[in-house]
Amino acid sequence: MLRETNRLSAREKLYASIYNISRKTVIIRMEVAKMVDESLDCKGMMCPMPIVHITKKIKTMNPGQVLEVVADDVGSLEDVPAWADRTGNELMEKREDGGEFHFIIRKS
Amino acid sequence: MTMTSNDADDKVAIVVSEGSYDKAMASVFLGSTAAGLGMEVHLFFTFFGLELLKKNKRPRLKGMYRPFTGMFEKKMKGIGVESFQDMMDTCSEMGVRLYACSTSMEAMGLKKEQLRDGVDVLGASKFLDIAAGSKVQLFIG
Repeated sequence: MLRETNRLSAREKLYASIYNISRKTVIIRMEVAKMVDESLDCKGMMCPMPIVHITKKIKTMNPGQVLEVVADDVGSLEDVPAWADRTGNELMEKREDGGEFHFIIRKS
Repeated sequence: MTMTSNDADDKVAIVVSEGSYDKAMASVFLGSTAAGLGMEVHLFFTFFGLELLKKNKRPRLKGMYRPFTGMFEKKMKGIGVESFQDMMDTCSEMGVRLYACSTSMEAMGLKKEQLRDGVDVLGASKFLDIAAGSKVQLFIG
């Protein structure tokens, strides 16, 4: 499924060096990025607005589609997983990146 | 998808008995969030809370903070929070049920025409019936 770590493209190598992450992580992230159908920018929003916007967005999507959310409210780190858990949507990824929180959600 | 779950366990009943800005925002925040979590939300407005159901109502902060309401609203806007009326619309859109207390309506001299669309007028017994079948009951006041 994933390509060999030593066969990264120049762009992926650059990405790895900038963000100081392993090349394997880069490949995983790029694979995930390819799956994303919709994205939502919740930066600057405080609780409960990210959840409200995610709910509205997910309603417009089809089952199986993937939504990427970027937020910077610290509360969202726990709120989004709790939301996914309650609504039965799959939280595929949750990570922190320089004060920003990235969530990958697959609509069930 | 359990977004529109009708499970009794997933019901939230909230009483709002104050009409000040902070109480108003707390109600719409909890209402919209609970709806977002796939819960069935019932908001019951009574006494001064009833004022919040009036068309185009703009709630103010209480007491000495009243003149600073505009400043506060601006700050909330800066962190992505919509105005109270927009949040109420969002709540309705998300399926939050809004109720007006019939006794309070009489006491405050309010007519149903003065209230926003989609509001049901209820008595305490019906609301308690709903609350008894809810897992979460909150009182904001």
